[in-house]
Amino acid sequence: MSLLRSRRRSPGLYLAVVLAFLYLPIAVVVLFSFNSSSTLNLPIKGFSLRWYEAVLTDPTYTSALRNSLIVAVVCAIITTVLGTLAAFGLTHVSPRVRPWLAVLFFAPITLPGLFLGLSLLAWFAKLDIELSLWTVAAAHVVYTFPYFLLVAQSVLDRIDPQYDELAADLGASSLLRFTRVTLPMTWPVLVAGGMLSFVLSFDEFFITFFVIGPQSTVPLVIYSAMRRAIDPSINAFATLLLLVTFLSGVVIAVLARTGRAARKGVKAS
Amino acid sequence: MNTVLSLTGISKSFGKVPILHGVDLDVHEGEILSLLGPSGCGKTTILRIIGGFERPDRGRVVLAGKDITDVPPHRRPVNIVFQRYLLFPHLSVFDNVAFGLRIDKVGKRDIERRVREALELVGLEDLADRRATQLSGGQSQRISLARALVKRPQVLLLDEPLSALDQKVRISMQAELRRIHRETGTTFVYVTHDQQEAMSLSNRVVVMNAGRIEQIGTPADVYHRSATKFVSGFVGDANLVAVEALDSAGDGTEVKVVETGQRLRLRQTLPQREAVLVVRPELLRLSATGDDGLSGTISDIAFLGSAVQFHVDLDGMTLRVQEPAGAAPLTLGVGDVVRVVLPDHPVHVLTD
Repeated sequence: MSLLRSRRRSPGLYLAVVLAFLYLPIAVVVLFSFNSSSTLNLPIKGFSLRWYEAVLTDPTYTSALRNSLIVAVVCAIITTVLGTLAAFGLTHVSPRVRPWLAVLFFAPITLPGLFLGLSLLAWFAKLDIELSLWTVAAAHVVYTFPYFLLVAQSVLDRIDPQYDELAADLGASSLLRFTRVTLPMTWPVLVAGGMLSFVLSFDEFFITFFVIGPQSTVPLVIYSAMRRAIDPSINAFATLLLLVTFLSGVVIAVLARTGRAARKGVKAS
Repeated sequence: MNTVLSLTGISKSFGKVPILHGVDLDVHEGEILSLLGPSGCGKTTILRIIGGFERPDRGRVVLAGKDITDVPPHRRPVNIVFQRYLLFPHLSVFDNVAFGLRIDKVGKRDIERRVREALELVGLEDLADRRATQLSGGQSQRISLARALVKRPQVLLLDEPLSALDQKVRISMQAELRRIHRETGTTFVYVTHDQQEAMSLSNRVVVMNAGRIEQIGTPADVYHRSATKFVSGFVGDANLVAVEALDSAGDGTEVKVVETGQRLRLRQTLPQREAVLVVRPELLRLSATGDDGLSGTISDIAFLGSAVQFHVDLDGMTLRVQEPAGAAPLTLGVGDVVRVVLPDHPVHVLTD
C-alpha cells in the first residue's frame, strides 16, 4: 500500500523537477528585474521598477528595442506575403513537382544560423550591399520563411480543393475566389505564421550578429552588456523580450485554434 | 422536346488513361437526366466537362445554342451541387446562398428576396442566420442546393448529391428533389451509381460503362428493355438465359437452353436462332407440380421483406426467382425439386 502511494506520488515529484528545470532560470531573471537592489543575491531586497525605468530611458536600450521591432515587423510582413504565395503555389502545382518544390522551400530550416549568417554576409559583401537593418530583415526572411510555410502548409493541405471549383461555379474569377473564399477561410493561420516569423526574428542572434550594420538589436545589446559588466538593467530588458515573445505566443495559439475550429466545422457537417 | 444542352463526340483521357470515348448526349429542357454507371465509367467526368472543370480532348459542348466548350466555369450559366456539401464555413446560411448573387453584383433588395425564396424552396427559411457549421448533413445539402438554384442555372448539375447521407435521409431527399424539380422546372443532370436512385428520380436514364453510353431511355426502358447484357445486370437483377431456337410454330417457339440442354416453350418468336433471354427474377414463378418451364432444385431462400428470393439450381446454371412475400409457397424448402415457370407474355430478348 505504501509502495503504491509513493509510486503514485513520484510522478508529481518528477513533474516538479522538470518544471523547475524549465522555468526557474526564467523566474529568477524576472524576479531580479523587479529587485530594488543592484546586487544579484537572493532573497531580493524589495520591489522596484527602477531597472525598467533605466532601460526605457537609456537610448542604447530604446534604440535596440525600436530596431528589433522594425526588423521583426518588416520580416514578418515580407515572410507572410512570400510564404502565402509559396503555400498556395504548392497546393496548385502538379503532384509530381510538389514534393521537390517543398524540399527546396523547407531545406533552409536545417541550416545552422551560423552558416546562414556567414553565407549571407559573404553574399551581401559580394553584391556590395551596405549592412543595415534592411540586410538584417532580409536575412531574417530567409530564416523564418520555412517556418511560416510549415505552419501555413499544415492547414492549406486540409482545405478541400473543391471549394475553389465551387466558388468558380458560382461565378467567382480566380481573384474573387482568393479574396472571398480562400483568404477568409485561412487568414487566422496566415496571421499566426506571420506572428511566428515576428517572434523568431525579434530574438534572433546569430544571423543578426553577422549581417547587421552599425545599429544594434535587443539580443545583441543584451549580449554585449553581459560582456562588459553585470548590469541589473539586463534583467528588465530580457523580461521585456520575454513578454513580447510570450504575448505573441498566446496570439499564435489562439489564431491556430480559430483556424482549427473552422476546419472542424467543415468536416463535422 | 427542346434540347437545352448537347454534347457531341466528347473524348477525354487523363494522361494515358482513356475515360470517355466519343460520347454524344442531348439533354432535354426541364427533364431530370441521370448518368448511371459503376465508378470509373466516366459519368462524373461528363458532369465536370459540362461544368467546365475539365476540358474535353475532342468534341463540343453546346448550351442553348451556344458553344461553351472553351468557356471557363465561372462564366457558364450552369451550377453544380457536389457530393460534399462544401458550405463556406466562414459564412452564415444566408451568406452562403447569397454568395453567387453577390459575385454577380445583384442589387441588395433582389438578393434578400431571392435568397429567401431559395431557402423557402428547400424548406429551411428559419435557418438563414445559422452558421454553416451548425447544420446536419441533410440540411447542409439542401443549403448547397439552394445556393446553386438561386442563380437560376440553365442546367443544374448534381454529382452524387445524396451519397454522403444516411439511408433514411437519402430517401426523403429523393422526394424533395422531385418536388424542387417540379416547382422550379429546372433541367437536372444527375450523376449517381445507385440504380434505385436513378430510376426513382429520372425522366431518362443514361447507363454508362467504361467511357461509353450503353443505353439512353426511360427508367422503364432500361429496366424492361435493356439494350445490353451490361445494362440488364447493372439496372436491377436479371437472369440471362442463352437459348437456341429449335422449332417455331405459330406464335410460339421451342428452344433449347444452351447451358442445361433443357427444352422450353416460349410464347414468342425469336428474331434469330441464337438469343439471350433477359428475365427479371420477379417475372418468374415457382411451381411444385406440372411440366411447364424448367426443372431445378432450390439451393437458397432469402426473405427480403416484401418478397422472398429463391435460388434454383438447374444443371449448369442458377436462376433467381422472386415471389411476392404473400404469394410465396411457404412449404418449399432448400433441396426441393421445383419447376421455374416463365411469364405468359413475351420476355425481353438480346441478340448480341
